[in-house]
Formats: sequence, C-alpha cells, structure tokens
Amino acid sequence: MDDKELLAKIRNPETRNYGFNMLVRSYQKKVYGIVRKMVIDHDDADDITQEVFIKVHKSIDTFREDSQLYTWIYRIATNESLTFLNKKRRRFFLPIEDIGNELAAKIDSSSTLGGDEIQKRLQKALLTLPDKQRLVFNLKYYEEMPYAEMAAVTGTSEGALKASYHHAVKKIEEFLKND
Amino acid sequence: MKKLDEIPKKSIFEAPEGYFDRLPGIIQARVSPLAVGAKQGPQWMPYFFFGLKYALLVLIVGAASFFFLNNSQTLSAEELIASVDSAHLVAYLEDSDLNSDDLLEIVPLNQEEAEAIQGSSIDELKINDEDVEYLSNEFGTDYF
Repeated sequence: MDDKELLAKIRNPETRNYGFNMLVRSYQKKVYGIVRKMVIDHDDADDITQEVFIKVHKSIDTFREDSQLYTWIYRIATNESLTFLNKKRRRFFLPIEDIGNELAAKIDSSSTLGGDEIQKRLQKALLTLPDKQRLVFNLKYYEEMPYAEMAAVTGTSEGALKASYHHAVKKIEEFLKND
Repeated sequence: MKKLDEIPKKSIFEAPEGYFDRLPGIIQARVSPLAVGAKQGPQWMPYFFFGLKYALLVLIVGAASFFFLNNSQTLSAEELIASVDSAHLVAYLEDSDLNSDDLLEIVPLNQEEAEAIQGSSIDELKINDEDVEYLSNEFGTDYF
C-alpha cells in the first residue's frame, strides 16, 4: 500500500484505524532506526517512536500533500530525537562531551547491540560529533537518503548538508586513526 | 587506521525480539478514542473546572468583604470605654483594688495636667458650705 492509499484510508472514518495501523507497520522500523541511532538506548528510542506516531496521528488531518508522507514522518522523528537530547543535556547541565560519554557507555553495556568491535568504535566516533551533524551522517551513511530528501527532512540546504557530511567523515576517520 | 569505506556498513542497533509485532498495538491503544477520552476525563470535566474557577473567585471576594465590613465596625478602646455608662465605670472602680495613686500612674498626663492636679487645693474647689458640712459629718474633720 503506497502513501496515497494509506492517507485515503486514514481520512475515511470507517477505515481510519486500519489505515493508521498500516502506516505504523510501514514506517515503524525506519522511524525506530533513525531514533535509536540518535539516542542509543532502546527504552528511550521506544518512548520517542511512540510519541512520533502519536504526533502523526494527531496531525495527519492537517498534513498537506505538498511534501511526501515519509519525509514528514522522518522530520517529526528527527525533531523528537534532537529535542530529547537537548532536554537531557539541559536537565543535567551537561556539555556535549558528557552526553557522548554517557551514550558511549551504553554502547558497551547494552544487551540489544550487535555488530563487531569496529562498528562499535565507529558508533563511539559518531558520538563525538554534534547532534545535528551526527543526524546528517546517519541519514546519509546508514539510511542512504539522497541530499534532496535530507534537505526536506532537516530543513537545511543541500550544500550545507554536503559540507556537514564531508566534515563528519573527516572527523570520524581522524578519531579512528588516533583511537 | 581504516578509512570509513573500509568498514563494513552495518547497523548494530537491534530491537528486542517481537518488538515490532507489539508496537502497532501499543500505539493503536494510545491513540484510540477510548484511551484519549479516559486520559482527558469525563466530558463535563472542563465545565466543572470552569465553574469551579468562578465559584472560588466569588468565595474569595465574599470572604474578603465579610472581614472588611466586620473590621470597619470594630471600635477603638477609647470608643468602647466612652460607650460604657459612667455609673458602671464608678461601680467598677470602687470594686477594684485600684486607688487614686494607681490610676494617676496609669493615666498618661502631660506636664500641665500634672501641675494642675498637684496645685489644686480644697480652696480651688467650688464647694458651698452645705457640702462642706455634709462631708465633715460623713468623713470626719481631719481633712478640713
């Protein structure tokens, strides 16, 4: 079922629940993946993913189809993730390095992490980046999202995104070289 | 150390088993009208709180008015004493242990009033002969 059909089902009161359920099933793995890579911890990712879909449900009637449904959902997911990290930092008056250290400790201790040592080191290198740059890296490297779509999701120009990704790669390789 | 493109691309983050089977149901339960209604409370709730707000305002204004009006009717100590009948005051003073010296100590007098009291003598009192005779018979003549 494509996005147009999903929206048609959601906007019909008789099929609204079914349509929304299908939307969650279609996007839950992508949304969870984007959020989890940002907040690292599964429980936090679970809370945020639920909030994302609740916001989608609340605002779906006002969604204008001048943007793609999935870019709209990903935008909500990325905003919620960045807001969560900002709140966490403000709540504990933590600088970016301390949040990075806390999340790096979770990479070592989490029971829901796979991958070998080099992938864990890559994740720790990513945690040295500012949140927005880490988001850009994740969307480009892991989600393989084109810059045009990333621009729609993040509200940043394609040129700025390219520069940000290029700098992120250089910083990560520097980190891996020195580590 | 390796360049980024030499590292195998793989996401290390895994969800617990069965998580994506349960999640749609959890979200559906949270957005269903029943759950939203239960979270928001009964439909009369907003009207109740709207009414309660104004009822509290009226109560506060009423209480403030009550205390204000009561306080405005409170008399000062001087006004209260002035309202007591002289006969009652004399009776009270006669029954009490206070003598004239005690009373003079209590009553604040300025210099002029104190001198007037000290300087007063029986001659300055305008008492006629009949009264003097009566007082003499009543209390003896030691004071005259």
